[in-house]
Amino acid sequence: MWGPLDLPLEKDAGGRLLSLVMAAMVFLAVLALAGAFILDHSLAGWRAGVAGRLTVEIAPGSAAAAKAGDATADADAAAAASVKAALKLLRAHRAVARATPLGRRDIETLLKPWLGAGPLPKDIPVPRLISVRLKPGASLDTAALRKALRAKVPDARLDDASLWLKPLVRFIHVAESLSAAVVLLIALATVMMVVFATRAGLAVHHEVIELLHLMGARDSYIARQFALHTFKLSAIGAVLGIGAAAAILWFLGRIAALVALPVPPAVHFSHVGWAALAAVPLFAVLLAVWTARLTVRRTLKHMM
Amino acid sequence: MIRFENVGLRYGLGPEVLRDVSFHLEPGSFHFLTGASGAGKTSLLRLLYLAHRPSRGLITMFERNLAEVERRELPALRRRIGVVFQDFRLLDHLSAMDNVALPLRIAGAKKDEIRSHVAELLAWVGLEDKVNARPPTLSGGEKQGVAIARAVITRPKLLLADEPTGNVDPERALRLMRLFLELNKIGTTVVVATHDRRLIESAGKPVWRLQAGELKIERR
Ligand SMILES: Nc1ncnc2c1ncn2[C@@H]1O[C@H](COP(=O)(O)OP(=O)(O)O)[C@@H](O)[C@H]1O
Ligand SMILES: [Mg+2]
Repeated sequence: MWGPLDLPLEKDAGGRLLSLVMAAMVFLAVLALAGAFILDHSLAGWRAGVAGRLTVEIAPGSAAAAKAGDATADADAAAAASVKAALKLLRAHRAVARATPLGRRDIETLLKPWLGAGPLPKDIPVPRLISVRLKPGASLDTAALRKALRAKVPDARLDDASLWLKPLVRFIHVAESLSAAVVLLIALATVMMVVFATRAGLAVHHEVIELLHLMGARDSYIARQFALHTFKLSAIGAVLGIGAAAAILWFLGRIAALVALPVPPAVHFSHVGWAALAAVPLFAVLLAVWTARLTVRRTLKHMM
Repeated sequence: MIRFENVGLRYGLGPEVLRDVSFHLEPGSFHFLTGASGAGKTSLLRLLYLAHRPSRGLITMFERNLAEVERRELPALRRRIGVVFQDFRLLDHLSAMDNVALPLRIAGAKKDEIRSHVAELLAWVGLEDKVNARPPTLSGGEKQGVAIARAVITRPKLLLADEPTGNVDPERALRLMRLFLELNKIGTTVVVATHDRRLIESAGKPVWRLQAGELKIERR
């Protein structure tokens, strides 16, 4: 099986290129996938961090009142009254362990990642927030609480702590879709490269292929030669690619640990995650081999 | 075994290089195919070894009407035919042994079976000491030996040779002729295209003459 092929494909110029491109493809696909896993893992971490927490948001005074300037004080007073009413209702609730209003300073800290450091300009309407801790194990009918709150304090909005998570979740989903698209594009590029390489090989060796046909070779026999050749070249590339990607991930993990980034280092992938990353080179090689085989068979169909 | 009826062949849109060729090839027969260069000998052999389909006419081969044979059925028919090509068409990157083994590998024979068989045939053509040599290191006559061994390794029913003595010394040509006659004796149908008059005279077998694409059958 590993003896010399009947077709002298090993001597073809494009071989090293196929390995090299394959290495790049596997490298990129593994990194894109790892990126998606890291984001997903972070999201799960953040989700766990906000479990058992609720937030009640009191809308800032209406825009019209805020613009009037002299009405700002009135709006503030109204908001303060709403906060008080909401606190009273929440603290009386069975499932609530603690309800704490956040000061303007706290809110500025929360908004810092998005709006930058420093105190916010006074005329930016900032909502009042109440952080609610649930009793551990307590079950809460969020809809009922939301309704009760709405009845007492019309401008209050109950958010089960995904208030800040939601845009983040959306961002992460977009990022994950992007990396899925990248992986798909890479797969497509791999297929196209193998198709071109195989067609070139078929053209270069058409005389030997005719000879094999005349000696009674079926298309499958010739396809197997191309498949075997593609397997050797792409396997070399895939091993190089996953090796480089593993090195980069390890390196990034070390850096993340050193600077204490809130990104889980690569070593925290689940077993499924590791299996998926390891499957990338296998899948890439299979895809290449299958493509080569199909290309040969489709091309030869038109020969006598 | 093989019957041609009014067979014509043209390459693409060119003129007919074979016209109204009709003959019957009996099993176990031996024929020479002769004619000037460009008369159509190679073209006729190409039809016989199923490299081309005729532009017109009827070819019956191994009890099959070729017009009704599908592409996927060709390999089975081709495996009954051994060919010694004019330019040998050996694979330069394979040893003499692997070149001769090729038709057996294609037919899916077992490794040890191939090994003993190939060694035996290389000895038959006098190349037992060239088993591992590659074609570029062989002389013209030695290459021809490898080509013949490869053509007969599957014990074909039909053996076709295209100008096999083209660039071989007379002694070697006669030796080669003896191999063909030997194979013919054990039942192989043989067609040898050649314009080597001495070769034809040495064998005393029927001669078909091609003249500008038309076949003339003469007996001697
Ligand atoms: N592949 C081809 N395409 C076009 N014309 C061809 C081809 N092969 C042979 N011919 C033409 O067919 C004629 C017969 O050629 P060929 O069968 O090779 O003759 P021979 O073997 O007797 O020398 C010649 O005129 C040659 O130019
Ligand atoms: Mg010729």
